[in-house]
Amino acid sequence: MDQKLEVTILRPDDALHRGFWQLYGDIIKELTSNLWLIKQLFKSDMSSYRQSLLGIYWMIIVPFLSLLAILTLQESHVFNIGSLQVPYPVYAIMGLAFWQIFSMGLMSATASLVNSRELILKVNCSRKAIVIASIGRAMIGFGIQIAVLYVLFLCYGIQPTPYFFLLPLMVLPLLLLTLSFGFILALLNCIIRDVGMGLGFLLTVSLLLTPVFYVKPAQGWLAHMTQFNLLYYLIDVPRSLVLTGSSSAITGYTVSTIVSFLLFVETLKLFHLTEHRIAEKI
Amino acid sequence: MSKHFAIELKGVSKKYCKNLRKSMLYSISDIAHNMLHLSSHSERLRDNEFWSLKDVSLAIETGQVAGLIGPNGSGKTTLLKLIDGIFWPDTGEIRTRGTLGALISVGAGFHPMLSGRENIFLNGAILGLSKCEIQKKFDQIMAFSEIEQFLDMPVKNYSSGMFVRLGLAIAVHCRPDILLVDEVLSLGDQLFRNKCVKKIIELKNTGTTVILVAHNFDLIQMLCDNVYVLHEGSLIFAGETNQAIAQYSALMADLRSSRHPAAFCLHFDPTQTFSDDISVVKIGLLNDQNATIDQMGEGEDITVLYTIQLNREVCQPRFSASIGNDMLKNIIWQTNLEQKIEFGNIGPGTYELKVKFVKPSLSPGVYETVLGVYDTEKGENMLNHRLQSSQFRVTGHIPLRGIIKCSSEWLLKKK
Repeated sequence: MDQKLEVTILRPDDALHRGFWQLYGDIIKELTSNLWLIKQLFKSDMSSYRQSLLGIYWMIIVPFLSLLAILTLQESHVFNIGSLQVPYPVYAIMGLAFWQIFSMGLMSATASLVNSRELILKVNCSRKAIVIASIGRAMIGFGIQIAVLYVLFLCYGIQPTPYFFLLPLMVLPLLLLTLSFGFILALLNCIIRDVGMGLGFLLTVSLLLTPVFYVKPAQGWLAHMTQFNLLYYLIDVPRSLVLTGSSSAITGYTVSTIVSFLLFVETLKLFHLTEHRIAEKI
Repeated sequence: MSKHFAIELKGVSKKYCKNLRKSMLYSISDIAHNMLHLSSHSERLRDNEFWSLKDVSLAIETGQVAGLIGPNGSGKTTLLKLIDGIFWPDTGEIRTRGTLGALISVGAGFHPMLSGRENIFLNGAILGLSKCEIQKKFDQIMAFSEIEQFLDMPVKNYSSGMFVRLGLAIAVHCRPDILLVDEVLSLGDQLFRNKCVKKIIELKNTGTTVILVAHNFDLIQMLCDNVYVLHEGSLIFAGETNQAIAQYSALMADLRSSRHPAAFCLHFDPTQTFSDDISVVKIGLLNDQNATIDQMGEGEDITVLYTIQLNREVCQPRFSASIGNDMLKNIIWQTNLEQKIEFGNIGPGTYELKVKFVKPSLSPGVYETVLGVYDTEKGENMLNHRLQSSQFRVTGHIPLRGIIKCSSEWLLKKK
């Protein structure tokens, strides 16, 4: 047998003794060697649509139903949307597309490890791959909603700005933020199921507090709170850029992007330091 | 790590918590410690925690097949999961050389909605194979699993046998440097099991190190170079296969007698009786002075007293008395009719049947005796089940191999 085989050493708290670069080296090596696994897990996740009559079309139907709900909301004047330069359905659907990548992604990521309990208990496969693959469905949903948005542009005769083509890039910070929370919540959900149970409520509250369906108020406590809401910048700035070509919160977006990136790097490390406890606690 | 060892464990321990709520609190505390780059001091036992594995040290050479045996709950699966990296040790160190493949559960990660073909790719990826490797091995996996015609059917419609075949086919074709097998070879039909055993031998011959957990001692004897015996989380024996099996058998006998003080008198499961017309009241072992015993020295007579309750008349009963062990059910099988002894027709009532096995030369170990009762006139098997058995121990020097001891004469002559 080849004497140059790699030696794996497992010791308690082993990752704690690794230096900064070694630690991130391990993480990058694990992620790059598991890209194929991430793709396969994503495909497996999407296969749950197979026993559905409408299958993948649900992902198209849901945005249209959301559009109907939004139009009803607009007509009923339930709450003050604020003044807009574009038709409200366009504004709301775009906000919804961004919001859902966060909410759906976070829900899936949080439940991902618990849902893969049998796999984690029986096979030593990458737990990071499981969490990352789980947000794939939210990304597909985002793509479909953007396609619906394009149809709306055509219907309303609106010409999107060139920023429209930068959407995949502009959504990246939001994806990083989703994964950052996802890593930590997935880990905690393995230990305490309350995390998964309470998340739906927290997301609803967050949706109400984040200007997704309404314009950021100019004053009051909500306006003050929104200043510190990363989600607001990560959703509203790309939306404004696509719809109007400008945004007054570019600085906020830049800061939010940096914070999201740093959070992602840090939570990835924290997940790496503690993930070996998952199998015995799940 | 010595270059000869594929697996090396030094003082490995693993602890669990008995209380779920405390386990949650401890987990939060441990994770918080790790997040702050602090040690969780996993070597300390907290309230309600216990050692599932304690201070296990072993070294398995490259290319060896090592067996791992022990009673249920002795820590076999935990040990495999630690070596595989699913669990992390709380103390000690585990070193493995090369890629690991684990057959701890067949088909873990299969998606029921995906076809067999898609699941080969999914499961292969989970087990660490690249797309290219899976494509290269696809035909071999398909041929090994024998499910070609159902390959495009969702696996949720597979029979359990097909499911097992596909799972095992993928796992054994991963060609790891170290393969961990946990009881899964008992799954599937005999033909497929034989195929898997051949595959393991083939892997061994190509230098793969294998750890095999099995309760099938024939398999252990056939495949293993060395066997480790685990009990209550500790390694109590490491060495030659037959000696390990003898140790394990002795351990099981001790456990049975300590758990059920009457174990050497009777194991009785009323659901296992073939007929309501008969029941075993007692099985006892007697010495020459007719006193009840539970062990005897090697080469001595074995006298068994079966007490049975008959609820109807039995015509020309054929009583069979057998002695067997975990490996072989009928090492000795005697009937009254073979010995030209007839009891005629016997009516309802309680009977004592005394059978003396004359100097059976059994090797030291744990054996069990089973009584069978057959109504020859009605052609009815009234009683014959291993659950209605009595265990006893033959003491003496444990031989390297074999069940029966006898003297032998040897002659070496140069022609």
